[in-house]
Amino acid sequence: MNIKDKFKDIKDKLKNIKFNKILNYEISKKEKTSLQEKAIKGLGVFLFIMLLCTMLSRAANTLTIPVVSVSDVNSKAISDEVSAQGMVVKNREKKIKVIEDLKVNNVNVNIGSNIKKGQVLVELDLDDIKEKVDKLNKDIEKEERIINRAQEDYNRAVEEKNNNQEQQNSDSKNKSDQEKSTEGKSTEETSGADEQILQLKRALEDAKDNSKLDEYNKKLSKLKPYLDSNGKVKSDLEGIVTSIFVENGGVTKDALLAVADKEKGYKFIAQLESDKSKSAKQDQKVKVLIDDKTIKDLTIESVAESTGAVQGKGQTEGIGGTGNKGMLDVTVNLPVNAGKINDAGKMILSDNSQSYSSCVPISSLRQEDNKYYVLIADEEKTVLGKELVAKKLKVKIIKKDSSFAAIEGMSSKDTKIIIDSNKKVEDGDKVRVEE
Amino acid sequence: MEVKKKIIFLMLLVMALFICFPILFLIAGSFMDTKELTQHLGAVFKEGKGFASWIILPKYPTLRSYVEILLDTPEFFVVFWNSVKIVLFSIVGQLLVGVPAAWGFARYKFPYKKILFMIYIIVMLMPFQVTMISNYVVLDKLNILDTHLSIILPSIFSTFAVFIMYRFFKNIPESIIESARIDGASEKQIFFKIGIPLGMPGIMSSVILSFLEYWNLIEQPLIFLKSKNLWPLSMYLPNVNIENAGVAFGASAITLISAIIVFFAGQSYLEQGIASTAVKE
Repeated sequence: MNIKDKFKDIKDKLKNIKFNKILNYEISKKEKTSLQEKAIKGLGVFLFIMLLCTMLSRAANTLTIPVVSVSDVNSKAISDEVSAQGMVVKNREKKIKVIEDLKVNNVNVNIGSNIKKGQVLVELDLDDIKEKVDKLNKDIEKEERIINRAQEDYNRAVEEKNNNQEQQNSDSKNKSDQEKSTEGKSTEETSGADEQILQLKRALEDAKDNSKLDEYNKKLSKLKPYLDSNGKVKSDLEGIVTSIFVENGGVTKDALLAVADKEKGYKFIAQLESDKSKSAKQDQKVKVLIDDKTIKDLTIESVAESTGAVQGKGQTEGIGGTGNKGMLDVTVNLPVNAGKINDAGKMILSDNSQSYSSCVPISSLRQEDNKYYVLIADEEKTVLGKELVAKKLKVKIIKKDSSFAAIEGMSSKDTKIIIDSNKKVEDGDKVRVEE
Repeated sequence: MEVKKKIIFLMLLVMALFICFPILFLIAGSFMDTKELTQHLGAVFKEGKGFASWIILPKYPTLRSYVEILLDTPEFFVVFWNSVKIVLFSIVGQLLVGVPAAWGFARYKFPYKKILFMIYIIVMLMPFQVTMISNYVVLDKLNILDTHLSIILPSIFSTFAVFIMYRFFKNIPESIIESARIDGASEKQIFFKIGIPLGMPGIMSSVILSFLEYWNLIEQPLIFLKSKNLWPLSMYLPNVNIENAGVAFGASAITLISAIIVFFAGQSYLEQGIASTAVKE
């Protein structure tokens, strides 16, 4: 048999077996194509959608990640400032006195008012003053009259006695025995006159002693200036009114108002915690900041337990109160024209600076449950590769000033501290560093 | 007869539904929000207290899980494309290496062929846990640990693909090969023009089964890949809790889609492959 014939024979045999179906591409191809093509197309569409979503999700992720500013942990010198908050208070106070029981029409100042020399403080009732002056004048006249009358009576009696004495003397030369016997009678008359003179003298003395003339004159001399000034009480010094003892429509007591004398300067009293008492000693030099002005080289006048004269935070002022517990009042005298009463300020007691190896900006410190922590940007291996994640790191503050804080608890100096961000950052959030 | 057919049909339907239940469970879960998931699965996450329940149709369906995965989770796409890369290179490598190997075993006689094939079968039967340490040592020596090559390279030289394709190449009648040889075809021509077309069902079956194997690979990535950015889809969300259960269901559903599409693409080949095993020459 020929090889070709053999091949044909094999072919015919194959046609009879089921295996032929597999070789018969024409029939099966159509089925495969319809479902297969659809599946392949579907796979292509699916992969395209996944690619699109990949980009969309990355874009969305970029929008939500906060951008942060970081800072290294550096060594810095932090000023060891011991300071205390306080207030300007009155130093020397002067009372503006006035006569009592004068009617007040107007009180032209309030507590805290800044008064100048010659400023009208209170307006008294002029009619009342006039009335009082008139009454005083009348009383003075009356007293004078009484004394004058007593004086006149005495003078008359003395003069009369003197006249009688002279007559007796001239008559005694031409006297007879008979007349000498009448002398006894005139002697009796003379002793009676002396008695009268004595009584009149005593009456005069009593009148003088009991006279209220001096008193009335004093009152009048005190009232006259008010009359002359039409009832206006003017200030004779410059300062701030600290107390007012009269009111509109009331009557005066011994003083009208109390004024803190500006010309003598004020005091600054600061409240310092007792545990910092070592920083404040008498005669120590300190600085005081009032209204952004620094007053240097002030000497501590006294350091004492707080009396409550200066209000602390959250404390109420009370006269003779218990004061702020655990606080000390540090007092310095301010120079003239430094500050105004009730001005708040800060006393800087010591300003030593010390170098610390781990310092962070104050803006990076965060607080939770009265404990401090910072957020660090730590590299973490995630599914997206190396990413920066914000991690919470608890720290302990050793010292701080207005810009930096020296901290404990920093494991490495290469740590990046998050100081600022464009969105809220919390522990575990992914972050990007601003370049 | 018709009644019998209907009964058989119903029984098969019930069995099919029973087998498909996990898929329905998955799809239903992917459309539930966190509250509904907590209501049904809360007991699972509460240290075994109480009972879990489930419903096929969610009461308050939502696309929230899908939106979260597809638009808010770039990590998912990293692992997805890692899986695509691993599967693609593994299958291409297998085709390049396994097909000629299977052809060689099926059509040629050479010394120690049986022993070698026996070794292939023994290695194929060994579970991963047995070869894990030796694999690790070899990959470490090659300095490819913690790279995708540590997964792809062993997959390329997988014995399972060779075994499947061998069976199909073996079923090609020798007479066809002989005829081709007689006609003057070279071995290369026989391989490319007769072997591959006739063995296509086997090749495609191997591709599909390999795809399903490598798409769901978990042991090798767990051992050989340390960097999270190299993880495949099977390792996404290793820790499922009640907060991310919806996302886990959604991610599983999306993972399933690609496997289903590939299966439908090669279904006919699988059927042909199964049919061909019944044919005896």
